[in-house]
Amino acid sequence: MATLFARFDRAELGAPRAPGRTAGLRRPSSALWGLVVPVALALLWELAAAKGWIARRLLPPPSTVAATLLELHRSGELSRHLAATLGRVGTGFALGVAVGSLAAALTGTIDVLRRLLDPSIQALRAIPSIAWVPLFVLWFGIFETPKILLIALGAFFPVYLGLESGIRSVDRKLVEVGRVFRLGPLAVLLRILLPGALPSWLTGIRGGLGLAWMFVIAAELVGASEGLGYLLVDGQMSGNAAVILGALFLFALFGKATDALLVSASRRAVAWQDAFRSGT
Amino acid sequence: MLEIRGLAKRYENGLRALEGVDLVVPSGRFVTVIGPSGCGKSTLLRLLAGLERPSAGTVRLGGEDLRGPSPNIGVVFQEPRLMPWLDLLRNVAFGLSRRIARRERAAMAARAIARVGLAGFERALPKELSGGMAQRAALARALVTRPRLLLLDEPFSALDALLRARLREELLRIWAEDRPTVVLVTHDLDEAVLLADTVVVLGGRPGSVRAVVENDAPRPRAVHEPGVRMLRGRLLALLGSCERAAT
Repeated sequence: MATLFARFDRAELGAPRAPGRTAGLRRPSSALWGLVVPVALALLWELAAAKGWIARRLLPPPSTVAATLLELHRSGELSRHLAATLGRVGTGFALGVAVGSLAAALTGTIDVLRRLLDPSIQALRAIPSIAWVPLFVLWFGIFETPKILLIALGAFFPVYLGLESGIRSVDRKLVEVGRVFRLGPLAVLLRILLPGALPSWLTGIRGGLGLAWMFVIAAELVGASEGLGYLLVDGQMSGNAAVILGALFLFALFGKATDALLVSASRRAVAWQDAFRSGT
Repeated sequence: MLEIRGLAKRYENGLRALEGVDLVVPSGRFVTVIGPSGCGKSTLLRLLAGLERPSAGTVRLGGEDLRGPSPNIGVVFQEPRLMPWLDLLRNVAFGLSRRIARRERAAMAARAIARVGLAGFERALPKELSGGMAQRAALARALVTRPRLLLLDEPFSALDALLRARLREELLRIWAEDRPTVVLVTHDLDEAVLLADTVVVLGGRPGSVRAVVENDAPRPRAVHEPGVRMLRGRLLALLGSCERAAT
């Protein structure tokens, strides 16, 4: 009777599940759940290629892609391409975050600057950043500078917007506490505005990282001799779909990994937030 | 001594909140300010705190003109206004000058925390504190600099009756310890009478001082005592006449 009742409870009312029984099934596997679909697709894909349902030349199976990546790795080329791309993303992203944060801190604290600069920044944001490529190439040549600047530009806007809106939404009443204690503008910025804006700032930084990855491809598609983006072009030129797929796979892998790194780093920084499902 | 002379506040939109407020408060007195809503109680407190500039008049504390916030003044708002990202110790130490050594600041904050009965919660974040605890923390933050003038703007209005009574007791105990001048704004007549040496009745639009009532009832006081009840009745009548005058 008791069991029957319990089952009814769980099924019909959506009551909390018995912790002992389901925790083992749900908790550790939460990361694995995300792998189910890709692995199943890969197996199906492999099978389809083996059976000859798809043209191997255009859509080589995962095993071929893996073999190609392994081959690139052995020759040392893969690490060279990876290092080039990661270096560009890292430098450009860091630059974009630094400049975006500085600009937002200035417009967020100095009202005159906000009125002066914010409309222009908002207007520039409307230009798809890829559209800057020709100008950047014209100004800075075709080597590293335009690539890094393009990535920095991509990261700049989300960071700027995140911090700027974060600062503007900091509770006026907290800022007033700063006035009671006679804090100067810099102290108000460092001790009230920036910490208060941190959640929104981090959201912007995360968006900036996503765009940095997007723009590194754009940058490397245009006149690069190394990098994952170059691998894409190379694969297209040589008609080697496995190289293209391998590069796509690596983009997914590293994009996701850097994002996860950022999320886990920021989770602790905003642990003070009293929000619904804070930390997820 | 706190001296308020001819204090007036007109907002840019033409709204006149206060006019011709004169008040002299000897050092160490506990003053409560009551009045119908919209009579400028909070405005008066914000002017004293230096958070707003008067349109006319002066405020002097200990013979010195007050212009803007002062280290001699502690402020407790209606809400705790704690920094959500700082633990209790850092919140209480928030107003201490950075020129004081870090360890000394921590010790001062810990003492203030103990005074308001929150010892043991130094590491708690504001989200982990109840409403009453958070308001105690705000009181500790205002006390940590040992201000000569303590300003409180309806500090207990968001708390339940029992907690309010307890915090009133604690406020009186702390006040008795180092005797700052206190100006407390409230809309609770019992609170005004239980706490005050002097009750100031504001009224009218723009608000001005309608009555200053001394309260000599011996401490500790209780709501049901005849002296307290009589004064409460008198204040109620005064407030009633203010209300009629306003409408």
